Amino acid sequence: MSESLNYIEAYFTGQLSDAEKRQFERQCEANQEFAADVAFYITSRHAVREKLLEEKRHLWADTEARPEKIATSPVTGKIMMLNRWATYAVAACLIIAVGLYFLNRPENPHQLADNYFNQTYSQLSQTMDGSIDSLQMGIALYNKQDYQKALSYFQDVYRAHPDNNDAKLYTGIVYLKLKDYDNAILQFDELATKTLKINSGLFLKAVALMQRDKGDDSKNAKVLLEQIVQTPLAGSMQAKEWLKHWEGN
Amino acid sequence: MDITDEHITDGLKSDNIKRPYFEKELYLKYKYFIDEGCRKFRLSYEDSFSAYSDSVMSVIHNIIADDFEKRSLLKTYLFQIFSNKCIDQVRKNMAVKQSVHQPTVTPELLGQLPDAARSAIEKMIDQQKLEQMKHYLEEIGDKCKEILLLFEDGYTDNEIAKKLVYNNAAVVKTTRLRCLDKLKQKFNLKK
Repeated sequence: MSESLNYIEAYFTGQLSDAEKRQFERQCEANQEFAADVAFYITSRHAVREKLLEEKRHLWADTEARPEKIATSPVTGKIMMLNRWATYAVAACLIIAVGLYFLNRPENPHQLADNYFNQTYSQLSQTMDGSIDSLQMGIALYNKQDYQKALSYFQDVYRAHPDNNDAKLYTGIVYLKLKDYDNAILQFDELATKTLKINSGLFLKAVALMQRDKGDDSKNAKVLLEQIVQTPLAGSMQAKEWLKHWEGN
Repeated sequence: MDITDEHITDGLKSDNIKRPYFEKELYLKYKYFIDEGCRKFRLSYEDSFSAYSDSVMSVIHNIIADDFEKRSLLKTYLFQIFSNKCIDQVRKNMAVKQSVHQPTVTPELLGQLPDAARSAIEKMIDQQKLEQMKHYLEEIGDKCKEILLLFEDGYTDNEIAKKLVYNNAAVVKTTRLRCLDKLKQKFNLKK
């Protein structure tokens, strides 16, 4: 029987020549017993796959998978020698030391933008205007951290009301929250072209560039911040502060 | 900084010790697709989650087997596979609703066969047989189960030999086929 399974496996793992493959396929059509063997092979592989998937789901969804390299490092090895409470004490000291290091370290543009965004946009304010319910629902979903649903609401509002600049602004903010910087920049670019009393499009584009921090992003963000300060545009106070910090570094 | 797609693909292919870490990174990075599945395909969260995790596993196996040629972004590639799995799920749900026939099973391996051979085999596969097979898988012993799971997870016989301390790849292959044989006997006996 293993011979038959060996032959079937050779087909599905791409080890047969073209002529051998054609012969295999003809046998599937003409020979019921052989077809049953192939059906068994496929079903068993599929059953194993489903088992594997169950294990992976459990691993991905519930537990932290870390490279084994971390577990075998010498530092971890030493910690293993201590008793449980001593281990906790060492871990706490390490956390404090790392925390102090990061607190005292000068912030780079990426961190500045991250801090600003997290502080300013952890929640969105509900507007007093109740005329567009979907926008309010989007804001409520954002505040519940259901960002994907919030995004679809804001996009729908903007599609139906292209003059609703709040919907465009919030779409960009959700993309930032999802760390989809490319799409966030597209939204803020479009927002920046609109004639508004207060237009934070350019400032938020600078934030997105600082957060993305790829290639010339930092340099381009700095140019935008200088433009915002000189014009001045929405966000000029914050931009001025960041530019001072930039020059200080 | 977010882990890049390049980092994930390289990490998955680098070595088996780091693989679980990068698998989880990939799973988490595009986890928001699950909501997309609910919204675009009107799937329940469970169905969308199931389609997503299935897609992530397929992408991981394709990356390891060098079938992902980086012609598209990893995100686009994953989303394409995810969309197809969502559509399959929608069809399954419709079939169940209409009670036309039992829920369909479409193992990925079937896709490798040309149409005529495929339809000859397809009619011999159904949900009930699949469930029985999963049950018998628990009865063939832990070692057999482990070896079959590792092979299905994209490990080569050589890698399995190193991992489970067998003499060589040939021994693994023989053992693996014997395990399948064992499964077949159980399946035929109780059929």
